[in-house]
Amino acid sequence: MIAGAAETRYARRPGPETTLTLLAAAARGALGDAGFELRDVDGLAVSSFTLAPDHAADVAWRLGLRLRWLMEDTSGGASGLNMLQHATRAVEAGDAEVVLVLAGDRFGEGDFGRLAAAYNGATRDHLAPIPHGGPNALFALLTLRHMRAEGLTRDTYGRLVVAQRTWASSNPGALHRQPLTLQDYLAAPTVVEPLGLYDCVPIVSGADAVVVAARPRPGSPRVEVSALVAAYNPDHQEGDGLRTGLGEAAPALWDSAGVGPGDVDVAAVYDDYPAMVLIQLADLGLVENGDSARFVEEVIATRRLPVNTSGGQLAAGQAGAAGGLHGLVEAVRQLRGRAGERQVEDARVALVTGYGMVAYRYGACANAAVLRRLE
Amino acid sequence: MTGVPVSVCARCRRVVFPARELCPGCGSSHWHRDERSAGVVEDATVVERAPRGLRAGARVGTVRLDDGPRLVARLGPGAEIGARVRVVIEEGAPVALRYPV
Repeated sequence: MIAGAAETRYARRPGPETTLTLLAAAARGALGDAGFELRDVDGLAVSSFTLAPDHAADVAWRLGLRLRWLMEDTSGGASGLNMLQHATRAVEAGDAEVVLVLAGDRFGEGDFGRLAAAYNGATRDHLAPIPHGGPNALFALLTLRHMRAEGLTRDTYGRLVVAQRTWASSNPGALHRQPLTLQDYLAAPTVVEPLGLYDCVPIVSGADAVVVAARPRPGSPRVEVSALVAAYNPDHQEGDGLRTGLGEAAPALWDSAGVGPGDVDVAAVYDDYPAMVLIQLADLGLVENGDSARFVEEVIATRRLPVNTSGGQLAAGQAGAAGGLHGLVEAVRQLRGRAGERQVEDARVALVTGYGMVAYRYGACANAAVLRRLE
Repeated sequence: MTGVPVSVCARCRRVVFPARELCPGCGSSHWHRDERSAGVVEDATVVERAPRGLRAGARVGTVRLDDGPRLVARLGPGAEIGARVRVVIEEGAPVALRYPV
């Protein structure tokens, strides 16, 4: 059961705060939201790219936590749901009562470039020498394949970006809140063709947190994790990246959740790039007849299905590993009726996805969860 | 100039790049090191902007080697989508050169 959620301010240029400071702030926020105290916490899961040389046990010590359950996750955009999967089982099994799930990063000058150049061994040894200039080039190539496979133009991605930006205008925590038109999107500087400025997440510093508890405090809505599935290294990086592995996992997700794609009230889909949003939604069976262009125009832009109501990472910012928790935090806020001006009326069922860890040519990790509000 | 250092599974002959420890096809840990050069450009783009600390400017693309593996390479002049190319390693990076070179 998820009892609370929080996100720190996302900052383009961080101040003196450290990664630990950001994690601590998110932790306090989520515990406050859940009505728990630090002393109630007996489990901790944490994910961060900028924690080194510290690890999960150091976070426990620095945050004053005495624990009986601890994990550290390194799966980037898939880390949030991976930690949720483990934390949920730990609480169900009685290994912990109250688990704090944390992710965050502080990126100072040049930190992101250093991370991107040595993201893993294959990147350091085979991509950085090209030089490929970071993940944008890989997802530009993937987006070209997506456009070719589905006969898409940039307009489809643009309409998705514009729709998310419109949601962001009612999220006080989003980095970019000013409205954007399709013309603005198309006229923006090219980063790596076909990706323009607004196809690439702004890198920020910040942290997110959720509280998973066996017995949430009575009186406020709690959120059940109805089902969670994952796919890691589904195709050995030998495919085209236009499927994530969620396609094979989708029947199990909907079966064990006891709902179908049509029952989703609000979706938080991992959005490192617009093409990946559409690919994951198609894998999970939400895109009718596989027609992404029409789905964006008729379902996303019209808000028939509210997708990435925080603005997503494309508008709110990507705070490193916190990107893996950002969508979960937004979904929990929506299900608990705490999403302010952007609250989706009577949101009961949410879909959340994670995607990430580019092993070589595209992400090697994908996961998805169905959450449900319990009164 | 050397070709792409591929690994060929000693048991099932699967060709992979980058190297793996165990064969994704049959699980074998026995590999023959070899080189491959012939392939076709599948996608191409230009890195116009890069994050601070990373270099922009390269033309990059996906090349499918005739033996199967897809790799990311720097594209030389004329290495357009659909072009047959020879892939060589220059300063640690795969570079696709249009035939004839």
